[in-house]
Amino acid sequence: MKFSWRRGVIKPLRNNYKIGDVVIFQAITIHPMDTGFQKDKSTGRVKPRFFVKRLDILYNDKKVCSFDFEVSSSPNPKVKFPLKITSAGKVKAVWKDNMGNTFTKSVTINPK
Amino acid sequence: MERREFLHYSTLAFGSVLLGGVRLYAQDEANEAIELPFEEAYAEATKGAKKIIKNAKEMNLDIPSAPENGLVVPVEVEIDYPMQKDRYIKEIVVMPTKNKVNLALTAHYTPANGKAYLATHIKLGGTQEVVVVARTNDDVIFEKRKKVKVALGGCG
Repeated sequence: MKFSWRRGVIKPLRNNYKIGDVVIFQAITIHPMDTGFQKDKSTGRVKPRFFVKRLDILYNDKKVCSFDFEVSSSPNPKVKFPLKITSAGKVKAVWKDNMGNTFTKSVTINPK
Repeated sequence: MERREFLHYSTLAFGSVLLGGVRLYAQDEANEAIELPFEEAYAEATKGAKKIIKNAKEMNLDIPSAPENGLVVPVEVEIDYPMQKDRYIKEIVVMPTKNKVNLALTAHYTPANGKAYLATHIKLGGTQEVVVVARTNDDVIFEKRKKVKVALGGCG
């Protein structure tokens, strides 16, 4: 199957934050999340299972939290999670799906 | 004798067809739909728990009771629990109860998160309860359920 993973966003939902603040981050990506139960209407064949399996969040290359998705997550899976700002640096999101594709996106953190 | 030979060869042929079939199946297995009953998902989420607090006061669950579309149902959880080095929420599991696959998301948190909060979107195939389970680092489980009415299912 042809699939090119191009879009994903990770960002803080607030702009003015200081060191010590807890900021809510949002991570969202474009992915079909096929369950394996649905039929393709044009061909009549069952679409294979194809979904995002895991999302890892790294803060300055240290793993902070991770999410295991299953097929009951909505298409274009989105999560919002809190993160305590301890220093300037980078927050990186790494998505992996069950076909072995990965996609990485990062955001720079500079607290005021 | 002829009959015996025929039987012998036919079993061989049948066996090889079977084997071939199995092999084909195994190749596609990774992409095949796997159903997950709620009981199994729940047992996995509460494995090794010391105590299960049902309808926990600490937990604040926010799901619209009648979402427009079952394909995208927002779920928001906040747990009133400290996120310190030795006292924190380790895991939050979101589970539908009447989908074919009754597990949507497992979040693994650490004290670096600073707060026990999670918002996500799930699919619901029909009117059902949604169960959210949070596990602390010393295996105490907070649980809360909410019934959600879905007119237009999202698992088509």
